[in-house]
Amino acid sequence: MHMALETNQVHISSLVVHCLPDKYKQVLASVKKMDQVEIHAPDPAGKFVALLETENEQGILAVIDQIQTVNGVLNTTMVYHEIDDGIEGE
Amino acid sequence: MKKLIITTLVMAFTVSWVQAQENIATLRGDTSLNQQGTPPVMPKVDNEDIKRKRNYPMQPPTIPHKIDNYQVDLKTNKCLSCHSRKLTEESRAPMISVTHYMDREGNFLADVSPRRYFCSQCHVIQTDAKPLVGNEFIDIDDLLNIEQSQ
Amino acid sequence: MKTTRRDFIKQNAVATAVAAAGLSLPASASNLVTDSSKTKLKWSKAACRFCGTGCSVNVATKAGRVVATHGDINSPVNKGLNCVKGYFLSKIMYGKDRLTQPLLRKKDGKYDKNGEFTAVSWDEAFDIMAEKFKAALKAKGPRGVGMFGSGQWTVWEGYAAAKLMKAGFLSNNIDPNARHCMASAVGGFMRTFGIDEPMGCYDDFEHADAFVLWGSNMAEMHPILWTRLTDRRLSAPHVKVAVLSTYQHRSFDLADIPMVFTPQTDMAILNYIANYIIQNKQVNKNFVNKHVNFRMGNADIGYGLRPEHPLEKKAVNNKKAGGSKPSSFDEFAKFVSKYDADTVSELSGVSKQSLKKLAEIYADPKIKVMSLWTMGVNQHTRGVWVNNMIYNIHLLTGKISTPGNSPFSLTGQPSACGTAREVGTFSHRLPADMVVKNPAHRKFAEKKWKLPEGLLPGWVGAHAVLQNRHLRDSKINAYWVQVNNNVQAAPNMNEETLPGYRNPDNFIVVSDAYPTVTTQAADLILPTAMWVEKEGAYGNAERRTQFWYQMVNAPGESKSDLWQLVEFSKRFKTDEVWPKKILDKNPEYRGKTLYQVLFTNGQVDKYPLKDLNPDFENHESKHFGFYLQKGLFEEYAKFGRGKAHDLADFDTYHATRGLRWPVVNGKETLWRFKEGTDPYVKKGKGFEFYGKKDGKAVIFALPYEPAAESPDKEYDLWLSTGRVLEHWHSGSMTQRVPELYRAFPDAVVFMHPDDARKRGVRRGDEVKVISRRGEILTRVETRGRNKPPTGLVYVPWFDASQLINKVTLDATDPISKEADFKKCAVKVVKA
Repeated sequence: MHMALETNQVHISSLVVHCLPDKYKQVLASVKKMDQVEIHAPDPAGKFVALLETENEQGILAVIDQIQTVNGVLNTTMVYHEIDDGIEGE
Repeated sequence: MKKLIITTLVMAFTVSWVQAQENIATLRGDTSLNQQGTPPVMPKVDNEDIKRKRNYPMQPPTIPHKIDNYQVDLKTNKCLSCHSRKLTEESRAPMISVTHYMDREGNFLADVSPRRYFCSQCHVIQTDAKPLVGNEFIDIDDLLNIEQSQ
Repeated sequence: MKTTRRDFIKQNAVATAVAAAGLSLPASASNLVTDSSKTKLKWSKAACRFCGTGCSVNVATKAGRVVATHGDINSPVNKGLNCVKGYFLSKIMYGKDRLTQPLLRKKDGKYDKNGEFTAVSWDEAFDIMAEKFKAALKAKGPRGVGMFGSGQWTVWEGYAAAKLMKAGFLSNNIDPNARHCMASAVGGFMRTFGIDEPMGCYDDFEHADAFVLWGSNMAEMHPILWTRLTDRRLSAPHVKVAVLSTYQHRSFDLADIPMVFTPQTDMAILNYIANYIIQNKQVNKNFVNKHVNFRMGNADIGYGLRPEHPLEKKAVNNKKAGGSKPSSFDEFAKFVSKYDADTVSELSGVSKQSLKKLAEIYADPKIKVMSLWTMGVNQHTRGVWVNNMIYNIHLLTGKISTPGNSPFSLTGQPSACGTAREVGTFSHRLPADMVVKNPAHRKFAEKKWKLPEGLLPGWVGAHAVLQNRHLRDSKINAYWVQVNNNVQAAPNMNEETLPGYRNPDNFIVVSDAYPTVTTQAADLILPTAMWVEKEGAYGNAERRTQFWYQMVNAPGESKSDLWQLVEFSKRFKTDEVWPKKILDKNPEYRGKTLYQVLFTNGQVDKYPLKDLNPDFENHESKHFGFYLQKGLFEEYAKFGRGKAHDLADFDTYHATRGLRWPVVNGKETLWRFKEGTDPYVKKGKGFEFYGKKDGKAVIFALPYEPAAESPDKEYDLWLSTGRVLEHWHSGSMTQRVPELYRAFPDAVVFMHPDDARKRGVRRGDEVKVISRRGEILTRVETRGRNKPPTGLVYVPWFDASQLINKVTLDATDPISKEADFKKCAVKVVKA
């Protein structure tokens, strides 16, 4: 069995969140309050980008679940995920 | 430069042609076109199990261990038996990226997306072969360092 | 250092999501990190540099360098994925040994064929080159010069090259390396449909119920299309995958019906399927009656070898290889009736059960089937026939031109379709499927090019293999190679290519970014800008045309192929290269340079520099003083508009992830020849194969015929050659990426353990692979990814140190002139 040692990882991911335009302000406010989430490119037409920094994959999924339950959110799609694995260059 | 070596060629017809001076280093090294050197011995696959630095975050990590006889087909996927979400706790292998759970349209799936099923299309082993020529790609960290020091 | 990397990732994460959602970041909002100016990257789209799949990638640049690439999630082709080669695109331009200045063979300060490569200026390089081209033109006329290009030329580079050769030097001796790759597919399309390129598109992958791979190893050669096929197979359990090959490879991992057949017997298997469909009364009679003609093809057509070869002397129809006569369904049924299960199973080595399962996929009207093929079918001395025969079974059942019913000819190179085929850089072609032999086509081209009537030559030029023979025979004396490595690629290097290049009568110019085997055999090397060092356009296998901008500058004095072609044209006057008769009749062309008549003709130089996108460089346009790429593209596009090859306007392609032609009223075409999805099909027709005058496609009766060379007592093994996943073609780019090199550094001979044992060798042993033409030294691999049956070995050709083309045979399909790199006879002995 191969056992690669876990290092000091940070998972960076981005989501596109679609919501109802008339609930846009409330949705934005609720998501802004969440830990590990930054908002980018908000569009009052009902979409914005959520940037996540989490310790692991489970963290991403937890945030996605949390956003999905906000009243007015239609859909959350993950676009990007990378692990900054903390390995320094040679 | 190099010495001119003319050998008996396997040639069906006699043609007059010039054996060129080959003072340009190609991936063939010093070997002239009608010659061939001894092929290098088969390289060993790096099996150290140490994660390697990536050139940029979106680069698929290379595989730090042997994958000889790994079965990945319609019946089974040996790679996922350690790297899938469900099994990483036990195997302590790195879990495959969450992007691998999304379909073509970006929707989340309960399990690994079938489009990502054949791991070796993106993830490859590394042998101990020494590259024939250097590569001067500069990754973003080093480039920023160079810029900042200027 | 940690922070900057993380900032970079974060910025990328947001930029990607913003692009995916069609949002926009105001300039201030892109300040993701405290000091954004430091980490700010510029992301732009480009087509991948490698295979014919045509994936789109996003390229990040900073401080004039490419620093990252990833799969473009907005591309319908790859939806964010790349194969391992694509993921390493960032590093292909940074091999340490990039060529940065012209190199000329010199002795005592003068050009000498036997001299040493010496750095010279572009002026000196073009001086000697012009001198040699002029001398050859003077001595032998237009037939004395030649050019060998590529399906890796951008669209406008191929177009400029074809124009310079055909309309400038009046020579049709121009051919692309796509000849080695796609010519049989073209021949198949033209014979069956009268118009080139697939009727279907990649959307077929998500619709088909069954996939049949005819000699194609998509898992390694078209990995991203393989992800789409895998996705479909594993998501829909009823879907079946049949894989046919002469050896077992990675695509067999997904096969429900795996079949290893004896080389060359694919033709018998295809006739068996046709016979099965007929015997089981599964012919779609309505479709066949309305949309199909039958013809009997000429048989015994030879093997495209030199005319003095005994096989050519013996062949009855080698002068009429493409000929055929009208026939009927009944004749066809009778013709294929001898290909019964017993006979074909015996001949091919495939079990009767497997043959039946395969035939049933095609015969069952409920199963939507996609057939896929590339080099296994095309690099075949009967390649055109096999293409025809695959269409036969799709036409018999009417399984064509509808979602999921798709005979799909995959392409090898990124722009074999877009450049080589559509632009017509072949020795017999003009743009938009027109041919040099047809006087009406020549007249049309002369008009579009604003050239005197009667100027263009009507003779068919030398194709790839013939060019090398002509070089050896001193018939072509000045020769220019761009974007390819033909000394490593062309078959039978020892007897034809190398003696041709080193023939003292000849002057060989090679444009390349890196020192390759071909530059090693050259007399003048021109350093060349590559990929995103220039503005480019490629056309992929599903008729999708894609553009990219120049993102970084090329190193040193490197210049793009386009710059080289156009700049070189300034050194010739019409009076030196055109017939006096034509100039007497059209005195206004007198005294002009080829640059003036070809490139500043009021069309190519129509678009001013202010049309350039100010965010990107464009070294050629700034040099010549007008938007060169746009002018060339718009002039070229006039050939196909209104003729079922419609391209959109130039600017549209910069704003999209490509469009599939014909693009009519701004709409791309997914399925051709079908009413409702193809604007060229007339109302009420249902289907219309409008490439043929009567709108009907052709089913050809064609027999099984043996290979040019088969194993015998002495040379007792079949040799098949090809690629590996990690390397692109001859490896000149991918072998310089350390990760790809280390993944698969050296070629090996894949062989069956029993065959190894019989020869007293084991895995890792050094052996010679020997044919009647030459030999290589390599090492035995008995456990690798390819598992040949006994009697066959496989050697990849990416390795410059192990030139397997010293061993291969220069037999070609007599119709397409494409070489058969998959079959010749060899022996393997311990070294």
